Amino acid sequence: MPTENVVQLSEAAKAIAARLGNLRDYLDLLAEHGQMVRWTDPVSPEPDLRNVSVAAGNDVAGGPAVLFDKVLGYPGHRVATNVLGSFANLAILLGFPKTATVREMFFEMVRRWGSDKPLLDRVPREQSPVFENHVDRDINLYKLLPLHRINEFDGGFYIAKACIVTRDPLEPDNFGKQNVGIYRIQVMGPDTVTILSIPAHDGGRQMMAAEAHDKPLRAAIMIGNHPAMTLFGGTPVGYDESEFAYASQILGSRLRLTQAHNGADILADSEMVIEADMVLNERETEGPFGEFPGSYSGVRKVPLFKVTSVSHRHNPIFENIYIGRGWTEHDTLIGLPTSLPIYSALKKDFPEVQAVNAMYQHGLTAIISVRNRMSGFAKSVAMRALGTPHGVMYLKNIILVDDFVDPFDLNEVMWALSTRTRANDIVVLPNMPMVPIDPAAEVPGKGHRLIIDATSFMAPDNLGADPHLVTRPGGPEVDDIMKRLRAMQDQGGHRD
Amino acid sequence: MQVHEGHEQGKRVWGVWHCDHCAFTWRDSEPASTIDPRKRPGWSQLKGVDLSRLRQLFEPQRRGGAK
Repeated sequence: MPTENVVQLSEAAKAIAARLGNLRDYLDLLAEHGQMVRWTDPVSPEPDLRNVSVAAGNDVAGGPAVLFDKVLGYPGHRVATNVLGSFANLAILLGFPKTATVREMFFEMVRRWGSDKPLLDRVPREQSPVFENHVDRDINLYKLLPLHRINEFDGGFYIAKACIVTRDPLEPDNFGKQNVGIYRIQVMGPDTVTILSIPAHDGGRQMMAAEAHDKPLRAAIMIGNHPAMTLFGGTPVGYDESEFAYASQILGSRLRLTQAHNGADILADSEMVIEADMVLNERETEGPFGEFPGSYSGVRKVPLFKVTSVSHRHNPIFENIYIGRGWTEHDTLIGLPTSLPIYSALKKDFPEVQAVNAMYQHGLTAIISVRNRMSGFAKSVAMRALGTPHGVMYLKNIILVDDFVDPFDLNEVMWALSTRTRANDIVVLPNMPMVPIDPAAEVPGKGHRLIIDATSFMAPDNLGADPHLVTRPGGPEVDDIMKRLRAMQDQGGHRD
Repeated sequence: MQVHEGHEQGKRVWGVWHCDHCAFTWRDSEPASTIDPRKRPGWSQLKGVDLSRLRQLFEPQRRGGAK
């Protein structure tokens, strides 16, 4: 159930929230700050789109969003990449100067985290820009979208930054259990796609439930979205919590919802929506795909979806992402949204936790700053982090540093590693679950976890080293009392 | 099988092709290192992989398995 928690914003952030209704508004805002570049020269789908996107993302601090106006062979179509590919672009979204530090943004997002009173308006389909154009016959995705190969040895063309809406197949009317997630989508034919969501994700869980109970699973694939939606599409929230509600609160920006033809709730102001039905128990060969660990993922049989319609705004923008060997837009986009829920869970039980930086490859490495409550405490905090929903699969290497070390300043972290680590403060947990696409796994899906306690040495309680033994009453006197107690029990125990 | 052609001012600039066997999709304007079987790495062509025995993301949940 959503709470009544409402985010409190600065005047600057309020002004941004008020003017942001969709991706185009955000691109305009970025342009005003010199953070959006229109690429007007003709580009080839491959390799130009890839190369320009990588170049834009290489400037992690200040790289611009890029809007391509002319993609060869796709007249009238536009592509946007690197939209959330730099911390300057995120800072502008949060109402900060674009030079804000990652640490400042982390604590601002912490402050906003947990607010989920829905700021949602309903609009009819005929007033929704996403339905300005609608195609439900002779669907050809290769024609309708300027598709392109993201990495040179991908198995095909991927839609890699779409927010996919699915309803719980067993409770289709439950708004909170309706899921919005960013999962990779490979186009398999003019009107078929695969959607890869593992069972640990809410989307995968719903796919499995649909097949197990022979219920339909209808997906609405939203492309070119309000940036708040993109931020929350990749953020793990509780299964019955609404990503729409969280997204509306993180920026304090009202979102307009409409209903797709297949019943899913969607953003009325997205650039495109692809509606598709899961073909139950049908699979297609998917991959390879250059994934966030920087390796191509293996090839698997992945659930297949049949496209039933494609709707889009006039002159639509196909927003996509470059993902691969970091640092990429993917790392910037999900870095803080990955760190926040881990911090939030830890802080609840352990107020000594100061900050969490889980920005490295979706949290495969995370740094937690914490004040030791007692000797060895930091390791217990790490164990708790491993038990958070994201930690179960993703947190592979955890580095613990003191509360006065800034986990977002890697020079400080290296200082802690250099001067605080004792080799016997390293814990290896063998044969743990692991992200299947992590190439460091022993076998896909299983490998080892590493905890490095680089907090300052804290002397343990020395009670055990100097035991002053308690003299326990005993001997004939106590033996006699025991006999008397037993006799009293035998006689009924209680007597006035 | 060709699934789409891109045009500029009435002139074909590329075609998109799809392999029904291994699901590889390519554009005939891409660099040879991506689309020429003589230049692509073997692993990316799934050489030696038995497609009928690929790992499932998750098993089909219906009793009796896949269609």
